[in-house]
Amino acid sequence: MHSSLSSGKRRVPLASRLAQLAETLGVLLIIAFVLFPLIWMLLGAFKNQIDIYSVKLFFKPTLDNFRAIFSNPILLGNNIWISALVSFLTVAITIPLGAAAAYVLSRHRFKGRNTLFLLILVTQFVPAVVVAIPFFNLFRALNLIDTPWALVIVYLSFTLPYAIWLLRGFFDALPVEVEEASYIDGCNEFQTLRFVTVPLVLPGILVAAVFTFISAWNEFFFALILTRSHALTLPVGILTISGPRGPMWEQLSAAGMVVMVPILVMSFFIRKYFVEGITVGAVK
Amino acid sequence: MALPQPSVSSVLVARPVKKPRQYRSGSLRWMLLGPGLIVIALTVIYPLAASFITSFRDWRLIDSPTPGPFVGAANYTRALTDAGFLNSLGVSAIYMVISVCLTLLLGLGIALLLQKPTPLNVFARTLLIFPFAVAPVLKGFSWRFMLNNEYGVYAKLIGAIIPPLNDYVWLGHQLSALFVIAFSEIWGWAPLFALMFIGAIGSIPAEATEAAKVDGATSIQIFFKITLPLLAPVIYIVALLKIISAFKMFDQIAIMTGGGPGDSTQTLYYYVYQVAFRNLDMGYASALSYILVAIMAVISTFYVRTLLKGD
Amino acid sequence: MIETTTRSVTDRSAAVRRPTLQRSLMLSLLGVLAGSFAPISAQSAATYHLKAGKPYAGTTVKFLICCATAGQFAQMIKLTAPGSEFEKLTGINVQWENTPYESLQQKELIEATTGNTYDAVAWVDSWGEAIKPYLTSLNSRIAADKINMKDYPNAYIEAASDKDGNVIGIPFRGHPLVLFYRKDVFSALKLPVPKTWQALIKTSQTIEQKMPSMTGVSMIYKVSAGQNLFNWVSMLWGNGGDILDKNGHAIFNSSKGVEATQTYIDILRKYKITNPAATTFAEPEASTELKQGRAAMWVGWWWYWAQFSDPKAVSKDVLNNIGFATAPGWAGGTTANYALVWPLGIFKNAKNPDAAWEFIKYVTNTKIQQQVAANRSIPAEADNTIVTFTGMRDAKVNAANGGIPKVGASALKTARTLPQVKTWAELQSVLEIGINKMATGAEVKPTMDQMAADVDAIQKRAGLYK
Repeated sequence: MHSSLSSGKRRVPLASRLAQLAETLGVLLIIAFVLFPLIWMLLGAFKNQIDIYSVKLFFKPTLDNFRAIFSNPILLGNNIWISALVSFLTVAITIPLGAAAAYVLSRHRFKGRNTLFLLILVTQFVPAVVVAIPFFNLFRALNLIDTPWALVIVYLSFTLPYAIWLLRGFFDALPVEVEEASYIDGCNEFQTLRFVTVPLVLPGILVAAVFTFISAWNEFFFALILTRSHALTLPVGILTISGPRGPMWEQLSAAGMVVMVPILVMSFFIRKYFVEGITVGAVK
Repeated sequence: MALPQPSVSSVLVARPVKKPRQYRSGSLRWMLLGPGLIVIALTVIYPLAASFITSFRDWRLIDSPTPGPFVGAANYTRALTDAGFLNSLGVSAIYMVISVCLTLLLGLGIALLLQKPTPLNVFARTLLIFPFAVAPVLKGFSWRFMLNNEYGVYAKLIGAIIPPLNDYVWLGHQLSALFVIAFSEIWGWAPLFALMFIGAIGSIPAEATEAAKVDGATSIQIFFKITLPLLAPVIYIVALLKIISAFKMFDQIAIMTGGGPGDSTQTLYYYVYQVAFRNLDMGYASALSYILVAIMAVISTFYVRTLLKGD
Repeated sequence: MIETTTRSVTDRSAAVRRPTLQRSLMLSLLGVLAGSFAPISAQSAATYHLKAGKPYAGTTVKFLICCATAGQFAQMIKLTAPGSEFEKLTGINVQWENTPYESLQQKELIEATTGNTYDAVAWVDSWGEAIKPYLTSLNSRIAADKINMKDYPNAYIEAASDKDGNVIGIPFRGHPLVLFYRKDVFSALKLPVPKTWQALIKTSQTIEQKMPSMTGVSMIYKVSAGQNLFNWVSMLWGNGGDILDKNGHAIFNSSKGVEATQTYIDILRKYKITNPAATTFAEPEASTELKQGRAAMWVGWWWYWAQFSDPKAVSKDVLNNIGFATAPGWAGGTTANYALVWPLGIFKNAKNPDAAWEFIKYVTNTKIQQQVAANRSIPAEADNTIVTFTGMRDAKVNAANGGIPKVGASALKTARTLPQVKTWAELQSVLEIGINKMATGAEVKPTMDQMAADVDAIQKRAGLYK
């Protein structure tokens, strides 16, 4: 790092070139730091039970691990469906409700608006354990344990406040003037919202949807507590791979790819907004 | 392609709408706001209230499926002398310091290295978002695997560079276990923080650094006198975020150590989880979780204040 | 059909013979009369003490269980799946509800105490006391169907019974501890197989001296579902110590207990004859040490044996090179090793308790267990586990599994089970954390005293004593 700092001072070509080299090396190191665990998991997914315990980079790849995790008795396919169902339902409820509330909090002025907004923010600080215990007891009374619904309900406790926060930022960023034209044309507020405002913040809504999806997809704590066997989501489902025959790293790696790839693809598409989204959402 | 310069305040801080509009309909307001508020009330307020009441009752599921008698503050006073709980407070504190400091340092380092928009750097910046999106459970598995002293690729690499650390059992000692757990998180967070820092550094006017250079300031001086002070607000916000996330550490503990060695990586979350869902002591667990709420309230006050100031 | 029936009946269950025979005769007669298409070789319901006439056809039995990847379970799942013999005989549809092992204990406790949605459940012995109040007594069913409980090891029965002696579960899957060792290493160094832990330590030291690349014995010290208690408690009992007295007080910190624990810790810290990383080893990691050829010995569950002949599961030098013996005892003490058992029982509020009982009878039936233990057609599903003495002595089962069932049977005669207390989940946590602390450097005696104090506090809080 100091090489980059010293480059400004000395103008000797050799030293400068060395500094340049060191900087490039540093950047490559960062790339390695970021990518290596992903690559290692990718490689592991194609190794057999023996190769997985060696650090070799070249080996005879096999698809056995993927075959194993999708067939009896692991049947990760079921977990994918549950995860997808839970995540989609969470998004489907969070986004409309969140967008509607965010719109009001952005555009309307009324007494207690800021307090309400702050309260919504503060709910994100509530520790998950506090939410888990009563919900666990409630769900067990309602016979909802081990159903996707139970997960969707608790996930709303953190996705909805988060989406409201994120979406309000997007509504705020949209100039009020674009709506005014619509009002002048005689549209009422709902029509304006429906045909002007929402289409314009659609990218923001998409971002919120992806973030909601990711947080539901990756969630582990609630899923561990509230599921048994029917509603096992992927993060908990992969624990069954780490069964009585050991951690089965090769199968875990394959399952890891299954969990990871959709999320990585999604985050790649919204990468422009990623940082902002996290800053809001990390509070979870 | 270049990433946009992320500005923390633009999203976080709600800008007030200039003036109230006649055509905003009051009834529509509550129609739109209502459902969201009801869901939040049901999913957040309800459990908060229920936990609060339970925290004053004796309720061990082993003995009874329904809540027992009210016992006053007994559950709270029990926490004060509960070695397991006090231990987890300490563990969480140590973990917080380790993970916050390392994330900030590493994030800053990455940001400084990648600040110039060369093609390589821009490519590297695109990669920075990926680790964060990886499920914490997978982070746990993958780091545990890579640091296994027998076949872990990182353990071997470290052993090759620093021979005394060959065969070191990374998850077998409190401090190194906490470091490893922290690193599985840092791997996700530091690149992300770097992105934020790069954005903030980019917004520092070039004239300021140029002027300093003309005055003969070294790069180190420029960093400490100009860059760092201007980054300070971002660092502060980001540090708070990391503190909160460190405080909530659970997933990787469950996957990587199970709280061990001994109970030396039992974080607050993990401990409360054990009390609630292994010991099935719902009353006590509720009290403990309310202590967590109190701690979180203190941190969140700082956070909210900062946000409001930034307006 | 008669032939199969008689073959299953052993001298031990002579009393069972006549009614079974009669019933199966009657059934086959009925079958002929009804023009049944069942082939002659097919089993009848009576073969497994199942009720004739499919009275529970169409019902679903929900079975809470983990570890579907265990060979025995993987086979049993197929044997009870739609289209299987069981389904044909009873018309019952069995749902194996596979839950991750790590959270199974917690989930069973919660299911039991808070009103469950399952019919049948299998649990690990020590978890049992907390859920027994929620399980139905099987006494009358056992009597009615003449299940021979004498065919099971005492340790299994104890774990499967409540305080009043009612049988709550039928042993379903069970394991004695056996000493696995590398035959090539032992014959190269001309070593005798150790019979005590003390001898095992000496043997390990010799092996490490002569073969520096290998550790003597693989051990478990990690905090993980109580797995680091397996060998510890065997040493504790061998030396005459115990975990709790009969009133539930902690007594493992007695001088005998401290001595046994010291030895257990010394294997790692003083003699250094195990991988120093064993502080982070649970059962899978410890067994991997042996499977990958890094350790010369491991005292573990007998079911691992099936893997040692699977080229996909072990490295080349280990393949078919593992010997076994009963797990070591204590020099100057006794041999009293922990035997782990999964009893299989029925929840009191099960929707289909009768159908669940049919299922239990089938999967715990010696014949089915023998068939599974002897079936090695799919290496990944090979599993020598079997719970009845009849099965352990069966020639076919022994032939398929290199004779380990017989060795297991003799180990099980002196085996014990963990204390049956409802607070076990909490106690286990104190014990396993304490053991791990000592393994990572805490002093034995003071740590054990603290553990004992913590255990007493838990027992007191639970109202087990004043």
